[in-house]
Parts: sequence; C-alpha cells; structure tokens
Amino acid sequence: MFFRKLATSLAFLGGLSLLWTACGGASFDDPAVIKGLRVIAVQKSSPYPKPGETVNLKLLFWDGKSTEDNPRDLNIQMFTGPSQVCVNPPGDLYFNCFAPRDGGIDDDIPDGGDDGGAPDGGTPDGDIPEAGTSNARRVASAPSAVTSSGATPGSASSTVGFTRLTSGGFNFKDFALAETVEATRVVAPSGSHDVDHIREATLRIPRGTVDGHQTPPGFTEEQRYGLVYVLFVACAGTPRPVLNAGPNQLPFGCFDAEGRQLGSDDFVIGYTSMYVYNNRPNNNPVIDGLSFVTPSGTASLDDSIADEAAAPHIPSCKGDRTKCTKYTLAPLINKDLTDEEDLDPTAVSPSGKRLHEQVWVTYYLTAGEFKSSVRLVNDATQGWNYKNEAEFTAPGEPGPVRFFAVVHDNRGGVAWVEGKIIVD
Amino acid sequence: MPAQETPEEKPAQVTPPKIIHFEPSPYPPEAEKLGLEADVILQLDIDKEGKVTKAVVTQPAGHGFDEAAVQAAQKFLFEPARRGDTPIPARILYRYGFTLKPAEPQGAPGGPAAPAVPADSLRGTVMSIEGDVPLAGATVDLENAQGEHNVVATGADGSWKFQGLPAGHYKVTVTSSGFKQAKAEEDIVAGQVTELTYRLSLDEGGIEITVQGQRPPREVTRRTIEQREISRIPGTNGDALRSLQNLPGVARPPGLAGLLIVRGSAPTDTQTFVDGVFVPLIYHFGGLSSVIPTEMLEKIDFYPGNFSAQYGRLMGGVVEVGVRSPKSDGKYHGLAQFDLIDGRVMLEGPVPLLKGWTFLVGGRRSWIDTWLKPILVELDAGVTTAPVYYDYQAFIETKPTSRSSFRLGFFGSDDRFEVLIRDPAQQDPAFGGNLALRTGFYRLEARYKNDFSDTLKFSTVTSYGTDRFDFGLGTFFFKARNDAFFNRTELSYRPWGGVTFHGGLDLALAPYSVNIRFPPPPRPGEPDPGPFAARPPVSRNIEALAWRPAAYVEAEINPSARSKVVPGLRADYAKDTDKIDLSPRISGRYNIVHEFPRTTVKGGVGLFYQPPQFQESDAVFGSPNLSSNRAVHYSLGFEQEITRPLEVSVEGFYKDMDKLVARLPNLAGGYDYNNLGKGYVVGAEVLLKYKPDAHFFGWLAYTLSRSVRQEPPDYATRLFQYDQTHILTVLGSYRLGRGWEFGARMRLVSGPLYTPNIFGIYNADAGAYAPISGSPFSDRVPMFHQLDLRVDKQWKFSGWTLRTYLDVQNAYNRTNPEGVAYNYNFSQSRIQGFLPIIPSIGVRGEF
Repeated sequence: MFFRKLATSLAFLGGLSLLWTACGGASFDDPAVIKGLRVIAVQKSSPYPKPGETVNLKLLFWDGKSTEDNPRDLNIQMFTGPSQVCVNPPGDLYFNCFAPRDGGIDDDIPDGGDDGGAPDGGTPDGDIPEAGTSNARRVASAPSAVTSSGATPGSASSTVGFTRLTSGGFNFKDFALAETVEATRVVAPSGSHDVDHIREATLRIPRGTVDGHQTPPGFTEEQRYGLVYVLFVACAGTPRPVLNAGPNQLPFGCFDAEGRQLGSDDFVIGYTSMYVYNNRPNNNPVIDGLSFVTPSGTASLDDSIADEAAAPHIPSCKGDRTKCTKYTLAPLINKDLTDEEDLDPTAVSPSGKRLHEQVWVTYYLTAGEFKSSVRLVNDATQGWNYKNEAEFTAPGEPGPVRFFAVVHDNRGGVAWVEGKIIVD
Repeated sequence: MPAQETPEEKPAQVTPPKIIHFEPSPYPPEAEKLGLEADVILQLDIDKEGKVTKAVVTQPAGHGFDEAAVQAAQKFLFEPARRGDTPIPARILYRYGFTLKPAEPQGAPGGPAAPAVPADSLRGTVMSIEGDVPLAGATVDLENAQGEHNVVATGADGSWKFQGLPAGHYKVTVTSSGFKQAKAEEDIVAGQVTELTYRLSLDEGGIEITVQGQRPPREVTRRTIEQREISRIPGTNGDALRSLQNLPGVARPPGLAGLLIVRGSAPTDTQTFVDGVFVPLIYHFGGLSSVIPTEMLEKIDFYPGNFSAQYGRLMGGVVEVGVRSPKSDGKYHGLAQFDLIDGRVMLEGPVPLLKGWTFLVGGRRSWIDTWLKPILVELDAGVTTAPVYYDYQAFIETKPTSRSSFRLGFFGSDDRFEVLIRDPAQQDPAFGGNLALRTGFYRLEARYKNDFSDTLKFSTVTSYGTDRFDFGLGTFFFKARNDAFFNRTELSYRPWGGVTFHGGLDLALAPYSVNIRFPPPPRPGEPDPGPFAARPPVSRNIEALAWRPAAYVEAEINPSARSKVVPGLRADYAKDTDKIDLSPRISGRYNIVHEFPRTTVKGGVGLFYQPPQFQESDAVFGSPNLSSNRAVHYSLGFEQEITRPLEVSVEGFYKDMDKLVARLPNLAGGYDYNNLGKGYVVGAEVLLKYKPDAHFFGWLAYTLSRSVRQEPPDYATRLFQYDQTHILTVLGSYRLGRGWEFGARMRLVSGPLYTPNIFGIYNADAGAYAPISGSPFSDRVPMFHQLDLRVDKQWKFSGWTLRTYLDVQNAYNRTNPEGVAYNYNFSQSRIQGFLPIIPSIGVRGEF
C-alpha cells in the first residue's frame, strides 16, 4: 500500500531490463568491436578526491578507422579548466550542469547569487559558494591546453555551452565554437607500430566543493560529499556549431574537411564524475597483467604492445564460426587490492553484512568477437567471481587485433590493460 | 442469487408451454440390465403449435438414456407458450427421468373424498437464469421454524405452490438436477399470497463468479460474468483475475505483466481487496497467475470508477474479490489441477468432530523452476533459487444462527528467485551480479455478518498480516516490510421501503520499515540521469507508522421501482499528511423502459483522494505539508436489452485530476515534492454481451480514451505513460457437445507509448552511454493484435469429473511490438517484441 509504486517499478524495471537485454541486442553491431572513434575509459588518479586536491585524468580512446598508413585528424578535449568543470549541480544530475547562455563566445560567467546562477570562475580554486546555494558552473570558456606524448597540442580557443533542460526534452541553444580548432593528429611515434591513444589532463578540485553541497537529510559529517563533473568530446574532424539545430539536437557537431557532419562513429560526447569527500579513500582497481589462453598454452600479452614480436600468432577463422577455435582473454586483476570492502561505511546490507564493491570488466577489440564482452568480477553480496574471462573468436581476415580490458568498480574507479595478437 | 419479484414489479404477461401429451420411452436395455437409473436434461424447442422441433441433450447420462429421452421428447405435444393471447415459440429445459422403481400410488382406491383445496400461501416459478427457461421437476423445500419440511415439485412450466400454511418465517431450498441449489428465507403473511420466482444457474462445480464491470455502488449497475465464462476465456488459463483484462475500461499491460490499468490510471491507482481486506499483490511475479485460485472465489466486483464511499485512498479502480463459503452439503469435495506452470489442490467439507463448521483449504506451487533452471544455467547464470511461487488458503466457517455467519481465514502468497548474473547488461553494467527478489504477504482474518432483521444488517471483517518486498541487485537493495492491521465495519438500516442507510468504518494501521540503497529514479520526461552502475546510491532507513482511518455514510434511495439514487460521503484521515479529505459522491440509474427490452440510463459524479507514497511525505526524506492526490470522476451511460440474451452497455467517463504529487531536484541531491501536477482522462466504453446459454457465451468490448498529465514546473501537457487510445476485445466460446468446448479471443489494442532516445552521451564511470531523450512519451509502438484459442474436453464419471484443456496464446505467432531497443550508443533503434506463441495444457479432476 505504501511502497507499491516504487517496489512495482523496481521489480518490473529489473525484470524487463534483463529480458530486454537478453533479447534486444542480437541484431545490432557488437558494441565490443571498435569500428570508429570511441572513448573507452577515463581514469582519475583519485576516484574520491579531497577538496583542493589535484587529480590527473587519463582518457583512453581508439579510432577504428585510423590506420598506420592513413591516420585521421582527431580532436580530443577534456574541459578541466576552473571555469569549465561543473560543481554540485542540482539533484547531482549531470544535465543540470547546462545552464542558459547569455550568447556569444567567451562570455563572462554570471555571479552566483539568489537566482542560483553559477559563481565566478577564473581562479584555480573557484569561488567557495555559500552553503545552500546552487553553485552549478557553466562549461563556458576555453579548455586548458592538453598534452599527450607524441601528439600535437590542439588550439585553445573553443567554447562550449548548453541551455538548461526545458519541458519537452533536452534543449540546446546558442552554442558556439570557435570557427577553427586545430585538430590533433594522431600519429605513431617513429619506430613504433603503436599509435597515440591516451589524453591526459589535470584538474584541481575547488576547496569549497564539499562545503558547497547541501547536506542530504540524515547524512553524518563523514558522509558529506561534493560532486564534480568533467565534460569531454572526441571528434574525428572539426567541431563546429550546427545552425538551426532542433530542440532535441546538440547545437554543435563534428564536421569533416568537406563540411559534412559526421555521425556517432566519429564523434563522442561524454562526462566523468568525481565524488569529493573530506576523508574517504577510494582506489582504482589494480591489474597485474593480461593473459591469452590458446590450446597450446597461456601467453602473456604484457609486452605485446611495445614489442609486436611478443604478440602471439593465431589462425584466422573462416567458414562456420561456431567450429573455430575459442581463445580466452583474462586480465589478472589483483583481488587483494581491488576488492575494497571496508572503505565505504554506508555499504551495508539489510542484514548488517558489509557489501563488497561491485566490479566488472568490459572487453573491447578491433576485430573478431567475444562471446560476452561484459563480465562480473566482484559481486556486492556473493563476492569474487573468478569466471570473468572473455571467450574470443578470431576474425576471418588476417592482421593485428588489439584488446582492451577495462575494469570498473561502482565507485568511479577504473583501470585498464591492453594487448595485441596477430591473426595469420 | 435468485431474484425475487416484489408486488411493486409487474412481470410480463408470458405464459409458458404446458405439456398435453407425454410420450413414455422404453427403458434402455443396457441400463435396465445394469440396474441403472438416470435423469436426462433436455433442451426442447417448441413451435407456435406446441410441437417439439428440436431436442438437445444438455446434461447427458450415457448408457442409452440420452437417445431414448430425445426420441420420446420429439413426440411430446404442448399447449404453446403465449404472450398475452398470441402463441409464441419457446425453449425450455425438461428433465426426463428414468427410474426402475414403480411409481407411488397417488391415492388408495375407494378412500375418502379429497379434502377441499386450501388457499395458496406461497407460489411461484423456478427458472434457469440462462434465458429464463422454466425448470420442470425441480423441488422446492419449505422448512418452518420447528424444522418441519414441506416439499413440492415444479410442473412442466416450472410452477409450484404451497397451500394452507400458517403465517411465519420459512427457509426455502430449491434444487434441480444439474443446477446450483438456491436458498432463501421468506415470510408468509396471513390472508396474503406471496409470488416468487427463483432463477438457478448451472452447476459447474459450485462456483458462481460475478464480475461486475462499471458497477456503481450498491448494485445500481451490474454486469455479470459467470464461472463458466471465467474458466473458459481463451488466453487467461482459467484465471479469474486475468479475465478482468477483457472488460471495457481495462487496458492491456505490456508483455505478461498483471498490471491493472483502469481508465487511463497508473496501476498503483487501483487496489485489490479480498473479503474487504487490502492485499498488496494479486498476481505472482507480476502476472503469471492470481494469488487466490479461481475455484475459491464467490465473486469479483470490479469498479473502474465512481465507486461507493466504502472505498477510498485511491483514484483508479477497485477490485473486490469475495472468497466463497465452503460447501455445506455434508460431503467432502476437492480438486487437483496441473498444467505447465503450476499445480493446485483444494479440499472442502464439514470439519470433523466440530458440528456446524465447514472448512475450505487449498494450496498451489509453481514448477517453473524445474524447467527454467537448466535454461538459466546454460546462460551461465548462477542459480541460487530458480523462480518459484506458492500460495495457500485455509478457511473455516460456521453459522451461529440462520441469519449470521462467522469465518476465520488465513491466506497468503510467496514469490522468490535468486540468480547470479555473470554477464552484466552492456548498456548498464549495474544490471548484473546477484539479482534477488522475494515478495509475499499473508493475512489472518475474521469476518462476522449478522442480518439482525430484514431492516438491520451488520458486517465486520478484521485482518492482520505482513507484507514484504525484498529486491537486491548488486550493491543496490530495497527491503520493505509492512505489518498491517485492517478493519472494515458496516451497519445497514432500512427504516422504510425504498430507503436504506449504510454507515461504516475503514481502518488501516500499519507500522512499516523501509531499508533502501538505490539511485533515485528520474522524473518522467527528464533525461536519463545515467547508468545505474555509475550513480551512487542513496541509503535510507525509515521506520514509521501509517495510520489512515476513514468513515463513510451512504444512502440507497428508490423513489420508484424504475429508479435508484445513491448519495454518499466519505472522510479520510492520513497521519503522514495530517489532513482530512472529504469525498462526496452520488450515482443513480433510471429505467426509461422498465420491462423487456429494458432501457436504463445511469450516471455518477464523485470526489476521490489518494494519499502520497511514503517516500514523498516522509518527514525526513520527503516533503512536509503535502496533500493527497485528487480526482473528480464523471460518468454517464445507458444499458439496452436487445434480445433475451443480448445486451449493450455504453458509458462515457471523464476524470479530472489535480494536486498530483510531482517533484523537483534539490541542492541536497534529492527531490522536493509538491502538489502541482495535473491531468485528465476522457473516454467511452461499449460492451455488447451475449449472456451464457446452453451453447454459447461471448462479448465485444471496446474502449476509446485519452489520458493526459502535466507536471511542474514548466512541462508541457503530454500523454500519460499508460495512455492506450483503442482497446478492442472480441471473445466467445461454444459448446460443441459431448463435453467439447471451443473458444477464441481476438484483441486489437493501441501500442504503448515510449520516450524516444535521440542520442547517447558517454558516461565514462560506467563505461556505458546514457540516452538523451526526446519529448516524454511522444512516440507509440505499432498496434498490438493477437488471437488466443482454447479447447476443453470434459468427462463425467460417477461422482467425479475429469477435464483437460489446451489454451494457446498468440495462435498465429505474431511478434507483437512491446517497445524499442537501441544499440549501445543510441544511434540505432528498432521496434522490439518478444512473446511468441504460448501453449498451455492442463488436466483437472474434481469430486
């Protein structure tokens, strides 16, 4: 009588989602196979940073359309400047980061105040907002320069902005980007068969992040938190405004050299979040290596990226794929350093038992297929699942195949490992 | 129950046929050799000249009896039926008895002259409820206050009479082979003759299920679906509560879900009561089968709106399920039924060593786990508990006096499963890990009824029980427990003819606890806040007391035999809102044409309140000063009899809703709630029904409706999530003879609404995309249509019956669209369906 609505919704959602997942994805492209430009993961050096702490971010990407002979121009940007990050949006919801623009590029960010607008930006720490005020910051000025080994730094003159959510859908208005943004060409370091596929940036968490977040009812001082969102984009071309974008469209897009707008295979927009605590640690998962099991034995892929000679060779799979040899790919996840049972005091089951971190691994590859590309590593109640490997079937065409195994925990921790094999 | 004609109501001037030539039949040699006797029930078609044009066996006896009776009956000659002075064709049921005993002498030869015939004291007719056919050979047993019995048999025209009886109070029992026994109590007044008509229904195992669609309070409007219909509607597997989904005003839920979407309302706006006691779940696992077996039901009353002041705390509809009394014929009866989903048993009869007490017990267990577990294991899921459900019922009852009854009952339900999903969903890795679900409830109830007199009646039912809901998925869980006490008490008083007053209490007291660790769900229409896997949960532990008492008064006023008006007022208090809601209501009906073919207009208007959910009004985590959701129901319609078995009913409805609870995100990461939501539902329902006769029953139900909501602060008016514009159901079942019956159901329904996703934004914490949506519920899945078929075969043996059935849902195997599936980044989509053809086979034996 008193909780039917929520209970009914939860059960129905869970059951229907499972059924849908089991039945719904069979005819779509395999999400594990990287065919275009993909952002694979973002790692924070401190998943639960403290106020004032400097966090290093690493963004892992891969372009399935770039080849060694024909690399594409890519524009990869993380918006980590002090006036660009989104701090404590209402409801802790990412889309409430998007506040109305006043128009034009490089606009001043209005003061925070009674209307709940964003506080001033400019200083590394940002303003320390008063408790109880809305202090969502707009992502509204140029990104900081980013660096990455082997890459040409991009220009720092782009501007991003979105309107607040309005009735009828997600409505963007008045977005504008600088007309030209020098792309970052992805090139391979000379003498190596590898390509640049990681971007790094640093971010300093504003000191007032926790104090500026209204305390949820019933929370203790130890449980108080703040929230920071960082936006990023990846574009295999040039980001430009979209004229006459409809109410449910992004007001900017990614365009090729001929001015044609590129689709989701060439353009990714996303975000990562950091929960900020005064004193609550959280570590990233730890991966000790990557193994590849063949009928003739187990090989380590740890050196296969740096040294292609270390990459195992396997035959291609032609004809009936169900009859081809199956291989197993397994990251060597360090259980002792990954299973953080005691670090979240609120993670307690109804029976009082401490809950584990939920950990899973998502596998990606550039060719071939996995039987299941998402595998459970650690369950909150049942504990470690040792059967977290992925079963791999080789592609029909010869060539290198790159693997990525990204391990997530449910508190923002991320780690990854890569490897390569050669299909003959 | 049999209808009684009162002196105010003048029946039509129809004279039934009278037999003037009876053709005796030779005794079937096989039966005579075996020493068998039997009664064969025949349906006779008699033309205007009194000749039998057709004789059909409706209740066979075998062993040559049927053929002999038909041959003889075809030679009967009748004085034809008349309407006024005009002969008319008629159809009657006739019991042709075969007995090996010689007939009793009618009187000793040369005896004294017969005494003068005294005046009639009590007289009337016994008819079949199906088509008003007179029943010949029925017995009417009259018992006086001293326990002395007087028995007469009805004639060929169904008539009977008692003469020279002293004034007083009598119990009447009417029995006819193949029909359900009827009981009544009558008063004989000195110097007056009382005329009565009893209508009996076919005995199908002792259950009469009454499902009343659009039934304004106190039986102003009544739509009856009999047990035969309930257990034969294709696609429902004989489940009484699933049959509700075939009535007008009830939308089709997605997939196999057992949601009741009534006149455009959310499923949680409709509540179900068993014997007046609220139950939280009426279906196992959200729709597989009901928690109370059909065989235990006496009636199902369904009110899609404008219901009596007896009911409150909801804005949608009411389902009131009545558990029947155990059979009191002094014998033990039982049944066992098994199909692909579950097995059930039931037993009833007198309580041993406890005179005057009867019992009814039953239980059911599913065996989905036996065949689903291997499938889940093949999918690499670690199965801790395969899906399984139970339900159990036990009742004992006694009648302390002839006017009172007392019942103790215990019933409940338990569903559970637990699996370890090793392959989380790619689109949201939170849907992985350990998935556990357990839902259940039980009730211990005591019910007492007493008709102190013809003018004063009292009833009360009290129950205590526990509701539990445990759901866990990875680190998320929701655990709720509710120890509930309910009481419903009513006193009815009829100070003079034509007016009855009802007053009652409806009490709900429930300490509850909720322990939850879950990300808060999004508001309707706002973008998906991101995959569950990356959203930190909100942990809450709430213990509180829900106290919701209510009182009501209502009057049934009959200004004339043609009309009825029912005004009422209900007052509800809720501790969580600390407010009193007053709900005035009124409904009425008027027979424009009182006799056949009757024309009735009906209508009503009323105010209905529904308190907020616990999390909305909770003192710490919700918002203070919330009020109840509010709706005004309007309805207007008519009923028209076309032929004896055929009737049409049309009704328009409008629901105006305001003060709906809505929410806005606040700076603390939660929500602030308010009462600024609004909405309305408008529509019309049509029901064209062919009432059951010896061969056929069926109906056509169509609903056209629009359901709209507007939630603050700046959302545009939009279609409500459960809007379903067109709902058309056509069904029927035909008895082929020799125990065979065939049925079909065709449904054509507007597809469900969905919110289209425009593109995906990548959440790097979960490694999955979150959809950015278009306008909420702005697109609709293509139309649903499905054909269900059912075949039954029954064998009757001495003392027991055996029945098998094949029920096929989705007979032409159409993959009906249920929603939209997207690829991993929401750049591609397709309409998705998943239910194929579903056959179900069952076997049932009962004695």
